[in-house]
Amino acid sequence: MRLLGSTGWGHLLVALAALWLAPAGASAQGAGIHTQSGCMTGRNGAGVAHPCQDGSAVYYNPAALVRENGAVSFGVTVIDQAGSFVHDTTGTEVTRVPGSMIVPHGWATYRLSERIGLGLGVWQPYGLSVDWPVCPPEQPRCGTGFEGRFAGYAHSLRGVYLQPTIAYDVIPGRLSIGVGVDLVKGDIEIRRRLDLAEQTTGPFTFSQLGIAQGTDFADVRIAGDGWGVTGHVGALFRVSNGISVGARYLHSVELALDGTADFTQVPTFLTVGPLGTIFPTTMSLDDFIAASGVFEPGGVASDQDFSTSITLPAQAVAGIALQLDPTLRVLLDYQWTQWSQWDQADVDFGVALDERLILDFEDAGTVRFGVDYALSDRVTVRGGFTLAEAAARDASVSPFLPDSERALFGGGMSYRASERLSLDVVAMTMNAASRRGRLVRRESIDETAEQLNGGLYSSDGQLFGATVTYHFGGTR
Amino acid sequence: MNRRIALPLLTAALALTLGGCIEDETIVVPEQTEEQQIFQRYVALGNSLTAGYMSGGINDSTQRLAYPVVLAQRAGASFSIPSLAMPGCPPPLVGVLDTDETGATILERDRVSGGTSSSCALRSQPAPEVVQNVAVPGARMADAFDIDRPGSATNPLTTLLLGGMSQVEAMRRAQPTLVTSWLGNNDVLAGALRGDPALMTPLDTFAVYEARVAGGIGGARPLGVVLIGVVDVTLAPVLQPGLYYWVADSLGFAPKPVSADCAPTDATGARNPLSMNTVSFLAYGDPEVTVVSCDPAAPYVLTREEADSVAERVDAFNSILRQQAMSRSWMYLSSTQVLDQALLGSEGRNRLRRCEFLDNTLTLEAMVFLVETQCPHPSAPNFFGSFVTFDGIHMSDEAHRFLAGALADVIEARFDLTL
Repeated sequence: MRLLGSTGWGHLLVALAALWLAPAGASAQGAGIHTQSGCMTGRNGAGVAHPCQDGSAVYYNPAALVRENGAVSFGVTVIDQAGSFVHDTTGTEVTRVPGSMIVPHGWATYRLSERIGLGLGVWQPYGLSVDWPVCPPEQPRCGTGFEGRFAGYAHSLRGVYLQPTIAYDVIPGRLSIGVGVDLVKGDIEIRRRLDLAEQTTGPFTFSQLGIAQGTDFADVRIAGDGWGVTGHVGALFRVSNGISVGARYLHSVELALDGTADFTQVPTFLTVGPLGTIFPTTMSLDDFIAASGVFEPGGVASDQDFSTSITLPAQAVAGIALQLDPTLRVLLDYQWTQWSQWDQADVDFGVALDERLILDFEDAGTVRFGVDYALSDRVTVRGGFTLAEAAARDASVSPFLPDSERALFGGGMSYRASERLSLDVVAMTMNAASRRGRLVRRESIDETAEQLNGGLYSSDGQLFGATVTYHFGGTR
Repeated sequence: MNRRIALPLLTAALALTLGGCIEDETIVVPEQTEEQQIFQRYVALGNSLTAGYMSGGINDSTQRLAYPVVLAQRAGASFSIPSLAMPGCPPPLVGVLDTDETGATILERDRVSGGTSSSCALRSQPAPEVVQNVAVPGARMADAFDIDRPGSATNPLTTLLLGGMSQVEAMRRAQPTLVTSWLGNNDVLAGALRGDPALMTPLDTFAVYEARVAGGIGGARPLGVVLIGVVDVTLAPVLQPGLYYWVADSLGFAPKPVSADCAPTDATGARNPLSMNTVSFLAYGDPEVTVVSCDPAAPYVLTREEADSVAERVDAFNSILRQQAMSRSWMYLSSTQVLDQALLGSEGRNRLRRCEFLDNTLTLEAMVFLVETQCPHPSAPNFFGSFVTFDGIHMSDEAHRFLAGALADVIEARFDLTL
């Protein structure tokens, strides 16, 4: 067994720290991301009963660390997601702002003894990034802006986990368990426009003064972050030489997020008045708004602090791996994710009125099936598919997260360049069901999908990934 | 086939099969008739007539009687209006004439719910997501696309109804499938009412503005557009020969004294040509006018030549509108023809009270008879006729229904529909 020298560990920690800070975001079910290894993603993430030997067992099953030797790996998954919304009434289609998201991962494992394995991983099991187009400030009624921009037009959420892990072979060669402690950093960013029609001036709303619904007058960026701690356990049981079963449970973590809400006035370029004492003469509406002081320090739309909390849900996975012959392995997993912990989030603003974001998700399952087939000592090909239930209830499909039932297909290949070095590449495609959703904020849990939903969200995507692994300490 | 090959194939087949199990939902589009598809997002541009201004005021009740609402109802389509809360902005008048405490005839001052001419209730809540009746009282052709230019006809309703947007902008926002546009009346009305043809919009200026509005409508790519011709405002019952005012004064229902220059004969007994000048009813309401006069130099007086120039300008405007409609394959509805149709027969006489046959060659008895049977009179429906409300200018609900019917005929013919 070989070790990295102390300098090697130092480089590793620096690299992990860099990954920790890298931007990312994508979603497979709800805001879940399961593409944390080129090898595992080639199997569509199946393999809790037999994780790949690239260190990703820290996530896919901590107990498997006693089944592999040392490895250090780094990789990224690039996710291209596209989506659109078609309005029921107008038939107008708005397309999401295209963009690629990069989800990095990094793993390190070390076999301390025959019965003890250690590991350290940094990865991002939760995240999302959804951008919808809005009109530029100089052309506020361009006609192509996303109508749901007042609920939100750009969202990102990220939960990055750093997990030191230990695994122990309880019954040598048969049963092992693994435990990890997760230090979780979460951050969130929400951008949305504010609708002047809903605001008040004196005893009146601007809507009563004739201002049309959907009149942008401010852009707000809410961004914050926070930390939390949780735990991860796994178990692996080798039934026979060809059959293994495994399970893992990653506990939920509540993140207290603090940050700032930055407001910027968006010009309306509207002229109003004369209208009684409210607009005594013909005047610029923008001047009227600016003169009201809402954007001045202490005003409701002044830059201010905010705080909220969000729970990254628990997830449990169980599965089986069958080694059909020396070159062929099939894997089947079922994952349950406790999305019902995404129920609501209370947002406390320093000056503006506090808000309650109603998420109202429900627990959802995912089935993953994968196949490994070794073409030679150096090359293994992989493939499989994933079927994921939707985590969002019918009334919860929103611009924030237009979640739906989805299927992913993909395959990958491992190439063992040398005894020490291997490369995994993967490509997947996602077919998400088009699903009816809303454009507006949900004000009450009693509001139904029939009352709220106004059109159809569609999305699809492609995913490409690669992981480079440095193996040390031999091969098991 | 050995399992090394079979299993990957099976995996691929399963993946494709299960992928097909992902069920797409669809957008919710209610089953619609062809009429409803064309009327799915009907938008009406215009001025006070289109907005539903009646009896010198406007509120939710009058707005719901306007012809675009009636037309949409005929098509079974939804149609959202910028509803004004009761009693209105300003609240409508409850009559034409009243008597003061001395028993003298005065102009009616009472308005709905005790409001005044300066009362202005705001918009009803909740406001519709998209406004489909984007007409604004007082709007001239130019105001339909630009309310920020110097001299634009802005008023409280400009803000209350569209919140600072122009009609064209509001129309485009609604993504219309059908547009009707009845603009241009206010480009001639002020000249006729004030007795000053110079207040009319010059012809070439109108042509430029009209082209811009048409361009705006065309840019929204509706399935159908109807341009409605400018109404001949000289036919409005608020404009009557000066002789009518003189007879009304004689009969005791004139709210103000009427000058002898409106009498059928002058001091020498000769026919008085000034009596055939057109005088606006608005003279009664102007506090600066103490005696209604037929002198061409007096305000609110149109000579026959001036009246003819107004009518000619109306014809010229309509020629521009008709050509615009033809060049774009749009529909055109002549308001003059609609009015002519409405005034046919004995029923027509009570729809629009006009002193058509009143002249200074008649005997006093004949003049009185004509005033009582054909002119605006307390015994007439709505004083000015059943097609007109208490301000003598704006259409009644009966007239709106009639116009909606005429519009329906035009649209039915174009799209082979039955509304």
